[in-house]
Amino acid sequence: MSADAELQARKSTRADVALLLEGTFPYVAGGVSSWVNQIIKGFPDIDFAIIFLGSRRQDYGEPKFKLPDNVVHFEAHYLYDSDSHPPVTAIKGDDEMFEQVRVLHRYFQNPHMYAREGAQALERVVGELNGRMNHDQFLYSEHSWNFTTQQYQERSRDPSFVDYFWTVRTMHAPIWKLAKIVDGMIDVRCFHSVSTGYAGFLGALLKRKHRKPLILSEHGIYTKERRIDLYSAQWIADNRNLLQSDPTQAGYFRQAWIRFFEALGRMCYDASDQIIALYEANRLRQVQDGAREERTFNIPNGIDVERFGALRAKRPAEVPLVSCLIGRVVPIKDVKTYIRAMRVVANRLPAAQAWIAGPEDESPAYAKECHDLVESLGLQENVKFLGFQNLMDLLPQIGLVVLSSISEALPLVLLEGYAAGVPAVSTDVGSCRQLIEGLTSADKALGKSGEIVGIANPQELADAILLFFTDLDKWHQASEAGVARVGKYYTHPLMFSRYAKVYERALEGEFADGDSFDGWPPLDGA
Amino acid sequence: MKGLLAACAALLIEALAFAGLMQQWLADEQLALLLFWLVHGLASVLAAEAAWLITPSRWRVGRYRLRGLYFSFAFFIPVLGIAGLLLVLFVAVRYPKTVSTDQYAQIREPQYLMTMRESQERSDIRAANARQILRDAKESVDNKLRVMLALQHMRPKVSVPLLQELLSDPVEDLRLLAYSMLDSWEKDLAQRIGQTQQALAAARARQSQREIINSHQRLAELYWEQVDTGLARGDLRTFALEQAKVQCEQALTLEPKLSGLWLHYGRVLLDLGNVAAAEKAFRLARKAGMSELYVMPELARIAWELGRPGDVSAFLRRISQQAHLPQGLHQVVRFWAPETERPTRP
Repeated sequence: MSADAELQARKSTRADVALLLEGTFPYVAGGVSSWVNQIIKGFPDIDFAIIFLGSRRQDYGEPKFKLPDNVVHFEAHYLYDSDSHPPVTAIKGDDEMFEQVRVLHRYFQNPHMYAREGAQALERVVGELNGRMNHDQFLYSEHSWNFTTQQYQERSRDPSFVDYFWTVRTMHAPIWKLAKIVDGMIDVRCFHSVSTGYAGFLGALLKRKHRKPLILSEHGIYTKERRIDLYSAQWIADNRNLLQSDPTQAGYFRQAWIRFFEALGRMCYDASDQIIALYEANRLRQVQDGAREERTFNIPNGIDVERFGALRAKRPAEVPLVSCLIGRVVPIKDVKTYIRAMRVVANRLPAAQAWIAGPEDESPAYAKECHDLVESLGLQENVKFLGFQNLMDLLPQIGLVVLSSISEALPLVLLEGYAAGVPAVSTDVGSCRQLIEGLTSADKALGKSGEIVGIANPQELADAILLFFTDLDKWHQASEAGVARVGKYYTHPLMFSRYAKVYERALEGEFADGDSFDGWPPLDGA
Repeated sequence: MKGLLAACAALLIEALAFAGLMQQWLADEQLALLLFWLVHGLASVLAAEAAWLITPSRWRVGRYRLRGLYFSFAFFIPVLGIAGLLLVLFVAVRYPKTVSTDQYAQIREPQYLMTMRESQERSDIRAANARQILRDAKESVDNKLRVMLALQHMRPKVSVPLLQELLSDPVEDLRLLAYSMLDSWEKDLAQRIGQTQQALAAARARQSQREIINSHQRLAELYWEQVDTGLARGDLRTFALEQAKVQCEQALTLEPKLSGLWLHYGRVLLDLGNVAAAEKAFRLARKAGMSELYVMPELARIAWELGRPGDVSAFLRRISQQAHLPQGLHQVVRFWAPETERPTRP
């Protein structure tokens, strides 16, 4: 039986927790997926169901993880697969529902002014996604056409109606797929989404229909990441001509997509009973994006310190002049800056090696660009692409963990490196500064376990790498600080005990009938 | 039956017309083409008539208009038009359900926007100073994002330094957007370098000296662009300059009369700190025919860096009488070489 078939064979009629996962575990390797794997394995007494949401089936290969035994149910849904549309039928459309849709859009455009009517309309429309406001109504009704053309005339700042029409169609299409998932949902005791976006919106729909608690754990901030993707996306049409174009305005469709994801995020925050961030800056961002502050708190990641700690005994006596970027070869990791930095490092320390340990299949075009860059900078002797590696074998061989990412949350690889005695050089993203310099005064007193550099700055990154490779006292101090920091603040027992409370509250009915509770005390990062 | 016969005749005549063209039955190319269009036109008329006869009576709306439509299909898409038209009609007659239009309804087309709707958020940001707004800690993130979008329309040389400053902005959205904009320019340059390297390899394989020289020259310009825009910084800037230098040298070895390339080579050498070699390159550029208008300012720059203000004046006096001094240079020349003085050769 293939790994994929094995996943599909996991079926059950009930589970304790339904994990709602968008574009991550088990099909994509990476930090979030590893975290999901940890959580499932960390709670062997809880039965998990996994609802995986992807874009199209062909975008994902074979599963990258073996499902733990306590995953009793698995479903995969692909939101942009061009499968079945309902058969074409001429319908006029439901008057009342489209009036509610009108109110709902007014609310999305101005959530503060129309909060109350908007919430009522949302409740009404969402409740009828498989009934009076089904997919047929959206695709084929006269009301839908009239509403679309009217919105185009009233709001569109892009002259192309064709692009407007198809943007609206594409944007809304997944909503009815999600509504179908809601209807077919097995019996679970609570829902746990690992992002906002479509998975978070699904969580909001599930909570509304099944009246079960919804937990949201955000690693990165989904809405923010989509916003950046959309600003630089090439596939979004902009039909303004030179005279029509205001250079300080993003194209209308770009803004429409951004507003769409912001609305999905807001609906997820509204519906979530417990909203968890990995660190304080992200928690504040959640509040800024619409999460109720009293429902938010932090739970930092943790790792199996004993397992990785055992690797320190395997380290060679001398510090290997090998830095290593552990992660997928994808644009967000900014591998190119690491390669450029190596040009500078190799100029001054020709024996230095840079390893890139991570799969290259997620973004083959970017991986090729990285290989080309190595060649054009003449670094074939210094830079090695290793593909996916077992960290237990890799960590004893390297002298530095390097992260050149442009966005991170709370990267596990830094913690795993610390436990194995390897200091880190990282860009100033996510909670990396907190992981390297410490958060509280007691944490800071442990010393720096590496160096922080600016993003996309090869010179600064190279200088930091050289600092540790040329000053071994500094390397040993950072290594000791890392070991102490991970052992004190980022362990599995700490993380699991906090999540145990989260699940306990959700599973024991603290949020009975889907009501949210008030007064959860914000936990600090420590 | 008539329709079927007409369809077969149309297909046969069309096949003949096409075969005649492909097999070059006529030696005169123009005559062959004229004959093809005539025979193809005849086939198209027959195909349109056949299609009209095959069309079920309930769809026969507008005797001449429908025939005209069929003829257009057949005539303007040679071969495929006739075959496709007849095939579609055959399917429509044989399997009428497949072309049923019951599920469609006619609706009023929307009123298209002929004039642009302006955003209500529009403000005077465009006129304001981008650098000032981006550095102002009190300015809202949304305004800063809008200024950044405007930077996409500016020359990279102007916007790159601003975006690089934003890479260390405390607001992550700004950092990420700045990064993605810089990255797209870097990617574009890297792609162009890659393509030119491939073109160079191909030119070498063909042993085409002109193309080899062009490729070296293009590569030198692209590496220089990395430096000039500020995308390459620190040691990488030096690396890009070294690459530009090598490319210039390879092109100049093959063709020493490229005055523009000597000028470019001099600028690269000057940025690498090799002043003596740069001066020599600028003089060779002049010797190869480069206008004094471009060479003298570079020599004046060297004189300034070597602390020889007298030479700066002398070099700039040589171009002070030029009618078309570039905008920025005009003021400089006026300062160093007042019009009253006569030019002298240093």
